[in-house]
Amino acid sequence: MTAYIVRRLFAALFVLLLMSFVVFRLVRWLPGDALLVKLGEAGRIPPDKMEAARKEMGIDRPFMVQYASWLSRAIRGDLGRSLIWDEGVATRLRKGVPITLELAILSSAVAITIALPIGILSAVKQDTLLDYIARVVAITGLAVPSFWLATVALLYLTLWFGWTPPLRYTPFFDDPITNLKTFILPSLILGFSLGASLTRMTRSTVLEVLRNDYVRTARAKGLQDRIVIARHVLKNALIPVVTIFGLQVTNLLGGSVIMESLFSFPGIGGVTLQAVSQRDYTQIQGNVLFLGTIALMMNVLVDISYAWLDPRIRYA
Amino acid sequence: MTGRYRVHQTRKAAVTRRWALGALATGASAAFLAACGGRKEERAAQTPGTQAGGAAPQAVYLDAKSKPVTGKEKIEELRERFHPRNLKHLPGWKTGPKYGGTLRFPLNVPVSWDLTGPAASALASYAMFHNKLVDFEMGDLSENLNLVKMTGDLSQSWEQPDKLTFVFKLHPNIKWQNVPPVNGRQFTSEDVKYCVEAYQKAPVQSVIYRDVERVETPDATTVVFKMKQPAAYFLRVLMQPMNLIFSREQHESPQGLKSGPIGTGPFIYEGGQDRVGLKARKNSDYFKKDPFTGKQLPYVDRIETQFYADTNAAVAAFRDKQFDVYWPQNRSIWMDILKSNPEVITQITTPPPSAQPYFAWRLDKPPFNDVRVRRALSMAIDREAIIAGPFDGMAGYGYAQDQTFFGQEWPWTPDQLGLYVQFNLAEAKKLLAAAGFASGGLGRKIEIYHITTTLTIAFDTTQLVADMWRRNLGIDVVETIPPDAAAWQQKFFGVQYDDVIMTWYAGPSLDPDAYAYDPLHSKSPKNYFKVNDPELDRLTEAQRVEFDVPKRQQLLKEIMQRDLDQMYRIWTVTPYKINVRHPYLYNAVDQIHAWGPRGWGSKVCEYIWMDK
Repeated sequence: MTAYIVRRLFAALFVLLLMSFVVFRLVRWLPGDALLVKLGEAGRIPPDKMEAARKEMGIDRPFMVQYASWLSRAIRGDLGRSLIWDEGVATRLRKGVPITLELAILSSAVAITIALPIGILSAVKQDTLLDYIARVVAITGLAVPSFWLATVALLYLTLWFGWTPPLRYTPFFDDPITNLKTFILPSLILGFSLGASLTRMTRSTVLEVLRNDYVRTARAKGLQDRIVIARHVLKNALIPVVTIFGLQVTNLLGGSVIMESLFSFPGIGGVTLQAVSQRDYTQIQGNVLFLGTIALMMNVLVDISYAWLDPRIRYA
Repeated sequence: MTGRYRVHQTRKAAVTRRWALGALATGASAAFLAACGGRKEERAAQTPGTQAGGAAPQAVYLDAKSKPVTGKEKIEELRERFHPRNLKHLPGWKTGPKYGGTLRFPLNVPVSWDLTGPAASALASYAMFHNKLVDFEMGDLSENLNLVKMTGDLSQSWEQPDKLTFVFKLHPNIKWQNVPPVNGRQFTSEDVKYCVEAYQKAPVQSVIYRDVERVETPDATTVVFKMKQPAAYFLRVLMQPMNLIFSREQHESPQGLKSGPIGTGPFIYEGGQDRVGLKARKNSDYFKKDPFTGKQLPYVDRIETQFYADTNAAVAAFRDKQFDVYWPQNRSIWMDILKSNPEVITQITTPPPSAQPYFAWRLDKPPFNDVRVRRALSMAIDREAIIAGPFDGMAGYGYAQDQTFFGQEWPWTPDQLGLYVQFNLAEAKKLLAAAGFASGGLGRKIEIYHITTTLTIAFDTTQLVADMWRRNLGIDVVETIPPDAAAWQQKFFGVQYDDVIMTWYAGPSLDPDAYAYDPLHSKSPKNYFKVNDPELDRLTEAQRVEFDVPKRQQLLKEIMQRDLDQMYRIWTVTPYKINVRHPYLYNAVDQIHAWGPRGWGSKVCEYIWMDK
C-alpha cells in the first residue's frame, strides 16, 4: 500500500510539472494584455511609460525565461506576486480557500444528507410511490441548473418574502450566525444539485448489491433488513458513490465559481476566473498548481478509501 | 419601425422566456421559500414637495408611490420629473442633515492603492479618503447636476494672473488623517508640490501635468503652478479625482502607497478584501464644512461597500436595503425596482460624454478610407430605432464631446450633429454607388468586433447596427464576439481590429480637450482610430491654448464639425443615467460626469446623510 501511494505521488508530481508548463503556454496565447487590463479606462499611455510598466510587471521577457523564473521560485515555495493585484499569489489563495472549502463542506453535507437516505430508501422500496417521488426529485436536481435555481431563489425570496441572504461575506469566526445565513442558500442549492446525482448512483448500486447471493444468504440467516442493509449492502454499494463524490468535491473546490459570483463569495473559483479574465498569469499559475494538487490528492484518497470500504481490494 | 430589427425582437422573446421560467419556478420553490420566512417591506410614505421660488408652485414627485411611473412616459417627461434640481424638495431637507449611520453601496476594493501606478485611474472611485485642489459640486441642493460647477476642496480660492500661472490658496487648518505615518500633522503647500512632482513621473497622471514647468510654494497655504505653455484644459482637469493628494511620508515608506489610502479626506480606511468590499470610519478631524448647510462634514459614521458580480444579486440587495443606492443599467431594471419598491427616489441625469456606445473603424484600410463609404454607413443607421429598442427611449443622439461646456444641458440633437447622423437610406445608397459599390455590399465581408457580452446595451446596439447594414445596404457583415474584456481591450487599445469595433471609451474627462485632442490628434497615444488629419491637428492644438471661452467653444465646434463631416468614428446613441436610492438617503446624487457615491462621484460620500 505504501509503495502504491509513493508511486502515485511521484506520478502526481510529473503531472503537475507538465500541467504547469501547458497552462503557462496556453494563457499566454490568449488574446489580451495584462498591462492594458491594469490600465483600465486610462487606455494607452505614452509609449515610454508603457515599456517601463511592462518591464516592472516582468512581462517583457521571453516566454521560457518567464517560465524558468517562475518554476525556480515555485520549487522553493514562492508562487510570486499577482501581476494585477498588490498581493502575493499565495496570499490571495489563502484568502479564497477557506471560503470555497466552507461552501464545499456545507454543500457536500447537504448532498450526503439528501442522497444516502433517499437513495437507499428508493432502492429498498423499488417501484413504490416513495421510489417514484425520489426519482422525480433526483431528476429535477440533475435537470435544473444550480445557477438558474439560485437566480430564481434570489429574485423571488426578495419579492415575496422581502428576504435576501446577506450578500457581503463575513468570516465564520467574526460572526458565525451571519456567516451561516450567508452560506445557507447557496449550500442548499449546490447540495441539492450534487445530491441528485449521488441519489441516483446510490439507488442503482444498492439495487445491484441487493441482488447478490451474499445478501440473500444474510437474509436467509434471519438477519433483520436494516442490519443487512447497514452491514452487507451499504459498504459494498458505496464504492462507486465515493468515486462520484470525490470527483464532485474536486469540482466544487475549483468549479463553484458561478455560485460564488451570484452570492458574492470571494472564493477560489472566483479568484481563478478573475485571474484568467485579467490575464494575471502568475495568479493563474498558482491557482492551477493548487487546484491540480487538490485534484490529484483527492484521487489518491478515493483510491485508498476503496481498500477501506472493501478489504478484498489491495494495492500490491 | 423598431420591430424590423433582430435584436429588439430577440429581447422581447427573452422577456417572455424569463416570465415563463419564473412561473415554472413559482410552483417548484414555493415550499422552500415559505420556510425561509422574512420581514415585510417597509414602505415609507413619500410626501410630494413643492418647488421653491418661481411664480406657480408645482408638485414634485421623485418616487413612484406618490405618482406611478407607467413605463410609457417620453424621455422629455421623465427627465423633467426626475431632474436633479427637484432633489432639494425631498422632505428631509425641511429639517436638514442628521449625523450618524452606515452608508452601504456596491463597490469592490481596487487592484492597487498606488496612486502613482498603472492602475491609478480606478482609484478615482476611492476619493473619500483624500482631497484634491479643486472639486465639482455635488449634492441634492446643487444648482444643476447636469452642468459642471467648480468648487474648492483643499483650495478655498484660486486665480490665474496670467496665461502661464495658476495660484491656489489652501484652507489654513487642513490636517492629515490621524494614522501612521502622517499622524495628523498639518497639511502644507509643500505636500501639494511633492505630490504633483510624483504625478509628473506617473504613467497615468503624467499627461495631466505635462505642461507644468514647476510648482512654487511661497508660503504654507499658497501653491503656484508655472506652466511651460498655456494650458486651457488644466483647471478643469484638476477637478478630476485622479489628482488626489498623498503624503511624502507614505510614498517614501517601505510599502509605499500600496499599503492603503491615507489622505486628508473625510473617511479613514479600515480595510478591505477583493470581492467583499471595504470598510471605513469617519475622520473626526476633517477640515471641511458643508457649503450649503454650514455643518461639519462628514455626516455618516461609517462606510461599508460590498462587491457584487451579478446584476440580479445587486438588485435583490438594493431591494433588501443591503445597498442604500443603486444605478439600474436600463429602463427595464429601473421599472422592476419601482414595481417592488415604489417609495425609492429616482434621479435622471444627462448622459456623460465618456459613456456611450460608438464604433471605430480602420481609416487606413479600404473601404473605410473612403469618406463616402463612412458617411453612407452612418446614414444607414436608424438611431431612433436604437433609442426605442435596447434603450427603451432613455437615450439621446451620441457624440463624445461635453455638451455642457457649451451651456447645453441635454444631449446633442440630430441637427447639431449634421447630415450624416440622420437616417437617409436613399442618400446612403447614392454615396455607396459613388464610391463604386452600386450593386450593394462593400465588395467583401466586413467584421464588426463586439464589446463584451456583459455590456448588454452596447452588445444589442452592435447587433442592431450590423443588422441595419445587412438589410439596408446588403453588406456582408460578420459579427465577432470577444471571449472576454481583456481580448477586446487588446483589439481596441492596441488598434488591432480589422474593420469595425464597438467601443465605449471616450475621455473620461471634465475638460473637452480629452474629447478633442486625445482621440483626434495624429500624435496622441489615445488616438485609437488612426485619425491623421492636419486640419484637426491644428484645431485640437489651438483649443488647448485658448483661454477665451467663446473662442475655445468655436474651435471645439469646428473640431466637432470636421470630425462628423469626415465620420472618423461612427456615433450611435447615448444613455441617460438613472440613480435610485432609498428615501432615507440624502445627497447620494449623480452628476453628469460622476456616479455618486462611487466612480468619479465617490467624494460625495462626505455630503451623504441619512434620516432613518
